[in-house]
Amino acid sequence: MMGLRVLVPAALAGLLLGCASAPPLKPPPADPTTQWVQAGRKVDFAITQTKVMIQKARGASYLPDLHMRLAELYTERARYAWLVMYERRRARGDDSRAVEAPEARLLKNLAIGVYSRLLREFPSYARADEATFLMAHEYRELGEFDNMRETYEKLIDTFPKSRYRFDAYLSLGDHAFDANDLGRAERYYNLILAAPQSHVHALARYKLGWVRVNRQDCKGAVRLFEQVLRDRSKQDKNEAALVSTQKSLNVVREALVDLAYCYPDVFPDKPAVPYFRGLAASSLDYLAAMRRLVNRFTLKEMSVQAVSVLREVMNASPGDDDAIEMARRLHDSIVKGRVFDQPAEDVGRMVRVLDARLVDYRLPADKRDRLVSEIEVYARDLATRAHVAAKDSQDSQTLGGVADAYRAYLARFDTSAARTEMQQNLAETLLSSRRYYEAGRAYEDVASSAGSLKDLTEARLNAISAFQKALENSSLGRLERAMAWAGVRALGRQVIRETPGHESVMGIKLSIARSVYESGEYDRAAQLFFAVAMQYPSTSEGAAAAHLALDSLRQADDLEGIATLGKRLVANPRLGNEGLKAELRDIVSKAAQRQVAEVTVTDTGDREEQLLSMAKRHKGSELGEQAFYNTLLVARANGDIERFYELGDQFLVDYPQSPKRIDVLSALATVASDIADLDKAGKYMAAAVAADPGAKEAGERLYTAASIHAVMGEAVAAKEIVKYAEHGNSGRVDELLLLLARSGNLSVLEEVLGSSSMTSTVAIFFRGYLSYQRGDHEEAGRTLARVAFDPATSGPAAEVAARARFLLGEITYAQFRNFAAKPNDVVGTVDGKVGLLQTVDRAFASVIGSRDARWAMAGISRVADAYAKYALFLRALELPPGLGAEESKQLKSVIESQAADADTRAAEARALCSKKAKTAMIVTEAARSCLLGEPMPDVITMYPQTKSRAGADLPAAAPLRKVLLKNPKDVPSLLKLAELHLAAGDLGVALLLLERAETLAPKRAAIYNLRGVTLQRLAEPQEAADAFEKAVSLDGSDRGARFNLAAHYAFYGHVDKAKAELSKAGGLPATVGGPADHPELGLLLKFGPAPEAKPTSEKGGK
Amino acid sequence: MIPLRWPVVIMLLLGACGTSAPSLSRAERDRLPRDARQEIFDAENDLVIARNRQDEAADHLRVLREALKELGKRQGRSEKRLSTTPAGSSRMSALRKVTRAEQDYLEARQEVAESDVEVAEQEVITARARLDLVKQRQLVRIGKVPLASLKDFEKAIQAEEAQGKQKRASSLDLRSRAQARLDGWKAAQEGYASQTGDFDSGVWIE
Repeated sequence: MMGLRVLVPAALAGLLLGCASAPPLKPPPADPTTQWVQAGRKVDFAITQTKVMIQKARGASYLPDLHMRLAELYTERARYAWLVMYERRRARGDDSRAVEAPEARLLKNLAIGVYSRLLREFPSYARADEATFLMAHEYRELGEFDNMRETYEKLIDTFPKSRYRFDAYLSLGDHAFDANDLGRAERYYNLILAAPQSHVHALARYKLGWVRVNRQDCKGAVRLFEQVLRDRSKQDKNEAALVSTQKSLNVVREALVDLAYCYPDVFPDKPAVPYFRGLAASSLDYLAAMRRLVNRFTLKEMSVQAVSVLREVMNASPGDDDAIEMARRLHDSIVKGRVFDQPAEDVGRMVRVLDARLVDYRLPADKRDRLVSEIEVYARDLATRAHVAAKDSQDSQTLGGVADAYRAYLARFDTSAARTEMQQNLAETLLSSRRYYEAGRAYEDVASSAGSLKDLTEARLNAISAFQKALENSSLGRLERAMAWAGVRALGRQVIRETPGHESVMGIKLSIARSVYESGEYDRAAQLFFAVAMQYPSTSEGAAAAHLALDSLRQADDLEGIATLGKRLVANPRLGNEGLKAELRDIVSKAAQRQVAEVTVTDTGDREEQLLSMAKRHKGSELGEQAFYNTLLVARANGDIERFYELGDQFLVDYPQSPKRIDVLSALATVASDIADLDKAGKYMAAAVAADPGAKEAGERLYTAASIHAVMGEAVAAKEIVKYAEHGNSGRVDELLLLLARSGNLSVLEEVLGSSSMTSTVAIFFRGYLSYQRGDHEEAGRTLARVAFDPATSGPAAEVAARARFLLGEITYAQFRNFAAKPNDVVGTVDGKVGLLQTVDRAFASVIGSRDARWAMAGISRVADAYAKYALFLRALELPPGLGAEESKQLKSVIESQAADADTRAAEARALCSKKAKTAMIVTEAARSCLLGEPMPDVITMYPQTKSRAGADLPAAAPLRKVLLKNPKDVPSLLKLAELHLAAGDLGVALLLLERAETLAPKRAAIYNLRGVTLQRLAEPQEAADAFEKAVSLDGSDRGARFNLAAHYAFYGHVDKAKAELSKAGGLPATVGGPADHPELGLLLKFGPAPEAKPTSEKGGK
Repeated sequence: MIPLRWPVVIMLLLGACGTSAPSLSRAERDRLPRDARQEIFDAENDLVIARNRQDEAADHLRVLREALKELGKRQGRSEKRLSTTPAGSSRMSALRKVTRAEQDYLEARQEVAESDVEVAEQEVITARARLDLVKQRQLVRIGKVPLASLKDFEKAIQAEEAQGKQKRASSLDLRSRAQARLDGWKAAQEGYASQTGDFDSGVWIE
């Protein structure tokens, strides 16, 4: 209820408002004359009143003004009378302005009468010039030209400074012009122009321009019109002409429009559009001028010029009444002038004009249809003519314009009968203008409306081709690219479906696959490329597709897929050639490597398991091989030595022909070497040599293997050294021989020397040495004599030469020593012994005289031994039986005398030896002999003969090796390992490890201490002494080294020095017999009870 | 997609119930030295990466499932097309064999993808356990928890890593099987083409 009460008043109010706001009724049609009649009545009233005022104002000063006003009122009244007449006639359909209005003439005459009276009665009236001018004007209006001229001339004469004189000149000029008296007209106009700038200057100039036109002086006219237009700013807007006809004249606009009249004659080649644009004051003026210009150009058949002007007009006013006509003219002008520079724009203009015209709903349907048909023909004609014209030029820009024209046509006339043809033309021109993407789309449209299968296929193929070309352009936008690929796919599939046997199908398939590839669907792309490769295996496209299939899988990161499809491709006997197959195999191989590499570099913590699993799954294949190989690398990186060896050995078993086996062997050897597992290092290195004997690194590997085996005194070293010797490089062969000799396994050395290729000084020496060791002194003497005087002054050759000379001496010494007394022939015996003694003396003379102090010392010592032995020999001689007592006594005396002589010589030699040993700090067996006064052993051991223990299992070495695997430069581990080997008697290995440690830490005393011990055990006491001394010099607080040095000195007779070192050590060693102890350390204990030992440091303390 | 993630969520929740996840307040974090904060950040980043991998694996699985669905439809369209000609009809059964081989291949790949999802989920769990350990270590550092508490976290990581290893191993086996199926599919395609001369059905057109 409540709602209803509210709604009812609202509804009523609405209704009331609706009534109030109803549209007002239209006023009845008005009589156009009424306003003029009413205005006339007002003027009539004014005339009456003015007349009354004139009557009442006799003698007043403003009387002339009242007359002037009356005259003006008559003039105004006359105008209304004319207008009433004009409107009435117009209402009857007569538009002419030449209207005969008697009332108006009467009124004008009345006005003239008033003016005349005014001038007569008030000659000095201030506005007399104006009254004169207006009277002349009325004469002109009435057609009384003589009176008019007379009145104007009277004005000019009477009022030479009046402003109305210019208007008078103008009117007189106009009158003369109208009377075709061009000279007089020109004269009057020039009178105006000669005066300073005035309100009628522009008008006068404009009219003078027409005088020029009429005199056929177009250039002069153009100049004047241009001046009017350029001086338009100078004209004061308030200074309009007095005469109404002149007032209404827009001089600027008229000058611009009339300029067009002469323009074609004066500027036939000058572009009109910019010229007129520059001069026009408004767009309306400009268009008016353009329209005039169109007419002039058309009239003069200047089609090219007409086209540009027509385009301006149509651009500006497509909806004007004359626009259709303009379109027709444009078509004609373009065709006649062959102006096909803007085909698209021209078609667009046509279409705009047509559409603007069709907006008019009043246009009948039949007319509309006709108009559409007409413009369609024009547009089509323009586009096709432009196409024909552009075909010859092959200019892509021009053809592009034509394409746009076709496009504009098709956009408007999409239902025309010519549409298919136009679509085809559009596609062709787009293709010719290299707008491939658009061409592709256009051909798609053509395909969609194709009539026959042949046309359809052709259009699709053209579209695909255009899209393909478009896609070659790297600057094609992303969207267009995607669309083009989609077009290739869609159209391609249609072609394949409908014409599977078409010659272009192979290329289409390849393109489709590529499009899928480009869209990032690599899995699918791989399948498609694979399909192309398998269908067309013998073509170049098939080969390319095979490559692309694998590449797609690589992009998809499907490395296993590469292996699977790659194998199938390689297995296809018809696919490509062997070169292609090799490439594919290479890709498969690289994929396998990458696959394994990716697992290898993962950080999941179970790389080894994953790789091993992969290796097992692909056992026997390249992938399996690579996986296995990487498993090895991972095991090595993890420091799992046992695993590393185990896997390495397994790899060599599983893949005996693998090209990686050499790497594996080298890696195994390197690791073994790093961890000081020389047994395995030598084994792997030798296997690496055997695996690839022709490799560049084979020589170096062989040397490494041989040196390891030589150090360890292994039998295999013999063959390796002999083999290595075949490569030349005798210097390094000598090194190997020395290493082997040092190892003490002389049987292996003998085996090596059995080779005829061993011809170096060192090799010959060793042959002699071995003969000497066997006791074959004759052969030894012969052999050693060949090298004893080698000219080398340093290096192994000089060293072995010194040794050879000593050995030659030793051979003579052995002969001397072994000389037995001849029974019952004392003289012969003594002569023989003396002869041999002299031989010994001579033999050692060359040794003593050499520069090698050690061997010179040994020579002196041996000579001393010889003389001492000679003295003993003499004293032990049995005298022949049968000698008398006296004779016997005398003989004994002689013998004793010679023996004493010999003793003296021996003592002298020994004294010399001792002195030299002390001064030169010689630490050898010979020096020991001299210093301690003990004879030298009968046989000097140059090289130790030890039974090698190399390769023996050292359980304590395992943890050290593990450390070294992770850090091969870990010196403490190397030292501990060397100590272990030293303890085990692997002197060569120990020395090798110490040399490695020395290169890593050359200032570490412990290294040299151990080295000294090792060298001492290798019967190289002088080198051992050097090592101990260096150890002590590097670290004076190393008591172990100092004890060893002291023991070394003590053993070799340098007792004083030994005591001095002991004193520095501050006591005696607490224990002896450790692996790092000098073998003769116990000697020190003989030097008495130990003073209070105060170790200077923990390190090395005993 | 959603059902697959439930196990992960449940496991995470269970994990949360079993061990209390270490937590560092913002102020505590700010007071930590730069290297400690960096360590936490790295562990968090690892967790994010693991989650990304999980998403990728799930996406891949979805794509394969869709491909399997589409395969059936594709076969239907191909059969419809072939049935329009007598020659086509005779090829239909042969084409079905090819499609069956492709289906086998896709199913095998789907199994691989499912396994990958499991591996990725496990990696998320492991990454979270590692993050917990890192946080716990910082708590030890600032004296909020005892040093001995780290052992449980370390054990948890070891357990998760062991699980991860196991899952990865099974994933590798599945991959081998998928490759065998791929080979089978290609062999079927080759056989069909050589038998019928039709290189297009199922490949280029449907």
